[in-house]
Amino acid sequence: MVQVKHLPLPYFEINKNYDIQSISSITSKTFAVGDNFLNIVDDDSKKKVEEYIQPKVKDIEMELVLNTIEAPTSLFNVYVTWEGETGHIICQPLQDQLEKLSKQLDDLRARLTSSDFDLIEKKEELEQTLIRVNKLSGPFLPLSERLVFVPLFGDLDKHMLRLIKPHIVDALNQSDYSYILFDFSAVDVITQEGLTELDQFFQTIQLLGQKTIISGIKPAQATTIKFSNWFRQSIKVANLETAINRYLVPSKQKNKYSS
Amino acid sequence: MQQTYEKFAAFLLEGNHKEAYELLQNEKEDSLTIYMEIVTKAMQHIGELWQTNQITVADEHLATSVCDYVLSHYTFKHMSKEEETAKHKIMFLCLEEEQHTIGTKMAAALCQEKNWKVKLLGANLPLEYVISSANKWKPDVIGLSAAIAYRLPVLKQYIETLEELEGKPKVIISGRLASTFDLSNYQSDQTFVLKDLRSFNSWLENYQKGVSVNGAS
Ligand code: B12
Repeated sequence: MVQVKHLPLPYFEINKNYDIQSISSITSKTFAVGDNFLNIVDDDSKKKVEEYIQPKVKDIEMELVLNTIEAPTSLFNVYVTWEGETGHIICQPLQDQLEKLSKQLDDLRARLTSSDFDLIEKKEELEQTLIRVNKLSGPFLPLSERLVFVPLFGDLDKHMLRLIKPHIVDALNQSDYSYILFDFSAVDVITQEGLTELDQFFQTIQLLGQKTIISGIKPAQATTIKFSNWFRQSIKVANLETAINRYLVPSKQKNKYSS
Repeated sequence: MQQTYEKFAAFLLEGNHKEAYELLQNEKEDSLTIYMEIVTKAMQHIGELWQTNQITVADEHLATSVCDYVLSHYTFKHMSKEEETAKHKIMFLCLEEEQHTIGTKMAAALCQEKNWKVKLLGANLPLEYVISSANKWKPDVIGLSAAIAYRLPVLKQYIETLEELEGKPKVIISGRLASTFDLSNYQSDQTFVLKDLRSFNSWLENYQKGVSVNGAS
């Protein structure tokens, strides 16, 4: 096989006992080739060769550690096909590539071992606390048989809303309040995703049959939210006091409660 | 049924350091058992997967990096926090051109739990560097690790040189070479061949007893 001689990669033709029948010319530049293919296989790769390089396994690709002239343990990707009892093996060197990967991982490891696990754990604790704070930022306060009051605190983003939503919806499910009053006086920023989340949240409440009331929206906030569905479909009240006067107190008792 | 170490190995191969860490953290056993029965077995299992052509050396690389990180986190939780009172010093290293570091990492962790002063020099340590490092830091014990068979002649050279160091430190030989080859020739009253972490653990306990009885190292 004249063509085989000029293959640009190490090539072996073997029989089923791994005796070498012919090689490409680059092969003898890479390996100290003897009579048998196993001679260039690292001891700890021999089992793999015996298992997978045999006429029964028609064609296969696998990694092997081989002894090269330069290094005793070089990694190769090896392709094998069989024609009857003649095996063809092509060896593609991987060691250089591997060394690059190895170097990158070493750098990464150096950075990681200096990472401060105290800080990582503090961060995890903080995240837990934040979840608790968020859950507490939308308490559910029944004020009368028909009115529930939910004061909102802090920044309204999707995380916070997703945390308070389940327990409010659960509580509403088990009751028949007519009005749910959200007070925004202590709300600072409402994020864009928070707005989307509010839309879904209010829609759920309205589907449950409750009317939503909004109080305490600041003029600056009003400009960004005035086109939102949740806002348009809610009753708007300037401040908490008005809201409570109007919806909590039956008309004849009004004077007693207002201050 | 899937063994715990196989589960751990799967997390390492997926790069899932969080689950891998939680698996170790939720284990009730002591750390020696965890190192032997989960971490070591998982790494050997990963070697098995390569042998059976299911993963590549690149996968092994990534898995070991995750393992390394998870071990750092785990040992951080378990190490003794009273370093000021540490009496004995031990230094760990892998021979030149040796990159199999997980063994030394766990051995170092065991010592930290036992309140030793520990220096983990890591992979691929040329002998000159070991000498200068040891002369500066003056360890009582030096632990060597080697996995690759063709490093055997170099190992001999390391032992001979380290035994001659000022202060005559004890030298421990371990790693895959010590468990697969008979290295008893290297053994002396200064040098000890230990085949795994369990025998290292007993060695440490005896050493600590010996030192406190004799009052000298
Ligand atoms: C993971 C691994 C790697 C990782 C190592 C990363 C790292 N940071 O550790 C990477 C991918 C980098 C790697 C690279 C290579 N590897 Co590799 N690798 C393995 C593998 C799969 C597991 C090794 C491991 O972590 N075991 C777990 C540890 C904890 O076990 P241990 O080392 O035996 O340690 C125990 C004890 O000895 C003791 N211990 C260990 N050290 C110490 C030290 C002290 C002081 C004490 C007290 C105790 C102690 O603690 C452990 C528990 O008892 C093995 C396969 C196998 N079955 O071992 C191959 C293996 C060791 N690698 C091998 C080879 C060939 C290589 C490469 C040459 C491949 C290549 N061509 O690039 C390179 C060589 C790099 C180098 N120059 O060192 C061969 C070795 C063959 C041989 N002829 O010796 C093996 C056997 C695979 C194989 N079947 O071919 N490898």
